[in-house]
Amino acid sequence: MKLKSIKLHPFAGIRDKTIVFKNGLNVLLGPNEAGKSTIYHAILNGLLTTTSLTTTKVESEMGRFFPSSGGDVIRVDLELLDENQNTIRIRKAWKKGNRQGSAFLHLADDTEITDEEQVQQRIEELLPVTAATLRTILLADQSGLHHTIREMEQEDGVRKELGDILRQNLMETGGVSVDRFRELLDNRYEEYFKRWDREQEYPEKNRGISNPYKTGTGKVLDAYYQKEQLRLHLDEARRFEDELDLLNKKLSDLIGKQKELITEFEKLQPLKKGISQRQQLELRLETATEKRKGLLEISQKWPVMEDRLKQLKPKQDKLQDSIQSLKKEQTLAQNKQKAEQLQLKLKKLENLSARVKAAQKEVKEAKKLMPADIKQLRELRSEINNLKGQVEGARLTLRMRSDSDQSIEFKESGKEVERLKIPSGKSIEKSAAGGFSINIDGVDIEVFSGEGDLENTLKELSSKEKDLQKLLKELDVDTVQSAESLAELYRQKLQEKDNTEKLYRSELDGKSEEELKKELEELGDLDKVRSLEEISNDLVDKQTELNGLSKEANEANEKLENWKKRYESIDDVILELADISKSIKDISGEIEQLPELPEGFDSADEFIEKVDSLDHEIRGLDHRINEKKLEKTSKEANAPDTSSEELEKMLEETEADFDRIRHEAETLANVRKRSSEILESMDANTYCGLEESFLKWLQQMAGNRFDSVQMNGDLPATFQTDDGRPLTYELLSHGTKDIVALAWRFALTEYFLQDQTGFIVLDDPMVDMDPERRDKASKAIEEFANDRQVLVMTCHPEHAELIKNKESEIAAF
Amino acid sequence: MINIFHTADHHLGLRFKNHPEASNKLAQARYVTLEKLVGMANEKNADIFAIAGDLFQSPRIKVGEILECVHAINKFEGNAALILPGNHDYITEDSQLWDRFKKEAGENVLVLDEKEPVDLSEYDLNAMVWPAPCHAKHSAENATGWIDDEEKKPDKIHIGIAHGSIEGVSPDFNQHYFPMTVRELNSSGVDIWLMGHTHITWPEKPGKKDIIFNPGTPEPDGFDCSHEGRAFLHTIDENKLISTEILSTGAYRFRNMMRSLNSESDLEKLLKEFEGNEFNHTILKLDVSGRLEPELYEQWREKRQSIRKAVVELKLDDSELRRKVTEEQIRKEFTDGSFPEQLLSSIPEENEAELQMAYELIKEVQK
Repeated sequence: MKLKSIKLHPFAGIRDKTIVFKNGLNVLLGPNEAGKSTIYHAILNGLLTTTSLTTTKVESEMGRFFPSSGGDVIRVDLELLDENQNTIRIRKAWKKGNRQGSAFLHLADDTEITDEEQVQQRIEELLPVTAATLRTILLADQSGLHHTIREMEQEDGVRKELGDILRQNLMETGGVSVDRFRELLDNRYEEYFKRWDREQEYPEKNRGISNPYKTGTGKVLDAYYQKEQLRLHLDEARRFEDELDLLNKKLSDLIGKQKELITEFEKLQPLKKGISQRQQLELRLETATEKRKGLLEISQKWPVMEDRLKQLKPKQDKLQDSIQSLKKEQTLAQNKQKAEQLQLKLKKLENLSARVKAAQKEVKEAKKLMPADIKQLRELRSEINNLKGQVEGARLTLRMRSDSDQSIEFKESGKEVERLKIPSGKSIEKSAAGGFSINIDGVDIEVFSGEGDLENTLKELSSKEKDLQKLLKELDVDTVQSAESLAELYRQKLQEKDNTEKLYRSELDGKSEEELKKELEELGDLDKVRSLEEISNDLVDKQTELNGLSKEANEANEKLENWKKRYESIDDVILELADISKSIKDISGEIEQLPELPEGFDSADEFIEKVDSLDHEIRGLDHRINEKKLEKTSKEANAPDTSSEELEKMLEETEADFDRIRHEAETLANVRKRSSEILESMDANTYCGLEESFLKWLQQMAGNRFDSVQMNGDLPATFQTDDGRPLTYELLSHGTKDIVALAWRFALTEYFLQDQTGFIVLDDPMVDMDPERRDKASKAIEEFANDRQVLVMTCHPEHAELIKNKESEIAAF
Repeated sequence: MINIFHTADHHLGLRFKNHPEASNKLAQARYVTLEKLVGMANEKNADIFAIAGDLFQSPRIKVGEILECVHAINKFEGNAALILPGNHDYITEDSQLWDRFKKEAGENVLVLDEKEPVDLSEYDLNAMVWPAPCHAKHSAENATGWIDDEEKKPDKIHIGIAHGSIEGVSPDFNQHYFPMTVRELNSSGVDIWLMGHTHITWPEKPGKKDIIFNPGTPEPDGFDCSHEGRAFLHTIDENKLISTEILSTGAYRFRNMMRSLNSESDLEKLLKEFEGNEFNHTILKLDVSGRLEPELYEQWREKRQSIRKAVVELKLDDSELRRKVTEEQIRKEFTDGSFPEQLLSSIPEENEAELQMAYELIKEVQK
């Protein structure tokens, strides 16, 4: 794609101008800013800026290109030549306002497009490089020249495009697009392995068949799901078949059981009515037989019982007589017992009478000391003791000593005079209560205690002692103690007498001994009378015997009364007996006509119960069978449409398919891995060619100043000078930087436009170069323009002259 | 003398879901074959037409299909047709299938649904039939067990008819298919055993001393059944000696073929095999392996469709057939050092699958 012409009408400072380009070198000389940059921007926007811009965008992106003299529209017309030298026309107009512009594209095949977006899209498709590369490398303006390398660092799109181109150069020598190959591998890999975890050999995120991915699955996972789905179907079919077998077995058992019961029921059921009738008749027969037995017994007992009653009567009378005699004898025996008691009583009274008399005698003969006497004696003794106490409390001690034998009278108060002898040289000691008197040689000396009236006390004591002695004498006793003993003895004898008299009176019980004796005499002579016990025993025996006979007679009478009441007479009994016998015969005849109770049954009730139970069971089984049938119908309604055997075969096939697909997939994965490794190793050599091309242009313009260039991936990093110094781009002079940038753009453009026609715009490329470098650069530009369309724009006429070759002309604007 | 036309395992109603292209033909063929068998039995003047189980694929069969089947059997002109329920069409107390079948069956068609002897004298045959019907899909019970203790009159021919696995003859690892043993059957006291269940013919070549016979399915139903579909015609003479004729009965065949293609002649030979009509009733499983020159390989890819057209259904696995990719070829086709050359050269020749896949991917991109 080359530029054929451009028309600006108007655009920036140009009102209406057309510039025609030729192949190879085109030198455009114009004043700075006003001319050359306008052409540059017209080409750039004519190719890359859409006319469908908002008001703001029109202002920000194109505003500076509207003529300062006025007007609200700018226009650029471009003519391009494609590889076949066909002309493509582009017409763009930007107008102020919201999306007011217009675009027109006339293609080589005469197609015309006016839709602004489509026009822009088709233009970019026609370009030999992407818009970014065009803007950064092919159409870099003057200010961008120095920064080409730096801009590339920022521009990923350009670097990617460059890398792709370089790789293509290197790798696609076999006619194989690496990118397409890689894309194919990636697509195939995705087709196989999408949502399949190769490491786990299981669906991603453990989403097995119970929670499968619905969409976006690869072939391996599809095959896996297909296989697992079949396995589920197989499990389901097997489960269904087993469950159905089980259900059929249960149903079959129930139906079989019901059949058995029906067979038995049908065998027994017809007998049921007959057996039931037989049961009733047998009951009647039993009743009749029982009745006949009763009648037979009555007919036999009735006369016997009447005879027996007749025999019982005299026996009863005789027993009554005996009982009366015994009762009389019993009265006599009671009298005899009474007489014996009276005799004993009288003897006892006789003894008691003797004891009374003896007691009375002892009382009479005893010393009669009464309690009053004892009381008086005790009072006197008490008073005396009291007085003695008082006297004892005033005791005096007399100690006498004489040089010669002496005899004195000593008298203690209230006591007898005592003669005391005092031996020579000896002393004697006497004590006395209350006072004493001594007579020594006729001299009476009386000594008294100093407290109270002891003399009167002694007198009262003496008086009381005399009174006591007097009373003792009167009572004819020696001491108070003996008086007390005698008084107690008298009391006891008196007590004994009273007791004996009381017993005697009690025994008499209000009667006299005479009365009792008379009473005994009146009972008479009872020696021959038997004992009461003997008589009572006889009486009990007789009475028992009589009771037995009476009971027997009563029962017999009662029975006879009942029979008479029921049958009136023995003859009637016999008539009824005949009737019942006939009835028994008839019932027996009927029973013989009825079926007998089958073996194994003890009673008709048991048989009937069995038949009813069978009927009930059969009905119950009906219900259960229907339930099972319904269950089966319901289960069969959901029967799998494929048998387990078929599914087993299908599963085998899908398992084989899965293995085959996985094998294919793994083979593909190996190819992909191997390809990736090879491409990685080849990537390392991607930029070798670029490096060589760059160094060639650099050395041409810098005069072999640089030996080599160290690349950092796709960008030049350090420049090795001829004297061995490595310089980074930043360390280079402005002029050298311009050369490096120009060489770099040439190298890149060679790659970007290698198989295509294209153009490059150089905006004042030599402005910072010294004359020597400028010369070399102009030659390089000339050489570069041999194979490509080059548009050099400059505002320096000498530069234009220098660059211009013999075929080119300088276009001024 | 009694002639018994012996068949089993028709599996009417089988849908062949795993054979999507052939399923309808295969399903319908089973009815056609049944009718054909009845015709053959009539031609052979068979006294008995015996189906030893699995006449139907399932107890749940559409009424129309039951009628189609029973009407075919009703055309048997011999003395008695004996139909034994097998484990696929097992009998139950409430079987709608067999109730309907019996309702439609002709007077000489007997469904052997009880474990009790059937005296065929009523059908002018001096024979007793000892059936062992299946009552379930799966069972570990030997349904012939009841027959051993029954008294068998020596003047009659005693015909046992059973359906299930026979130890050593048919696989039944889990003892699910009414398992029986040859010893048990031989000692049961019957003169001939008409068996069903195993879809292959056994014995392959019946001998004079054999009394147990399993004809296999009359219409093949899978790749594990490679015969042409078979039935037996047994003739039992007065001395109870049995002679058996094997009859070919099926319409369709399942074939497994393995071919190795390493040269043009191999390829031509294989393609030639399918030029005629020999395989137009065949469901073919074809495994192709070998190594072909690229041109031949491409030819194979183009022409293999002709095989598909020549058969009813083709299950082709040619994943083991490789395009010959040699070092020399690689060098010839791709620039030295180019990516395709590097990739293909890095794959060892023994990794044929990988080499072929890489080559094909490269060629695909190259196009």
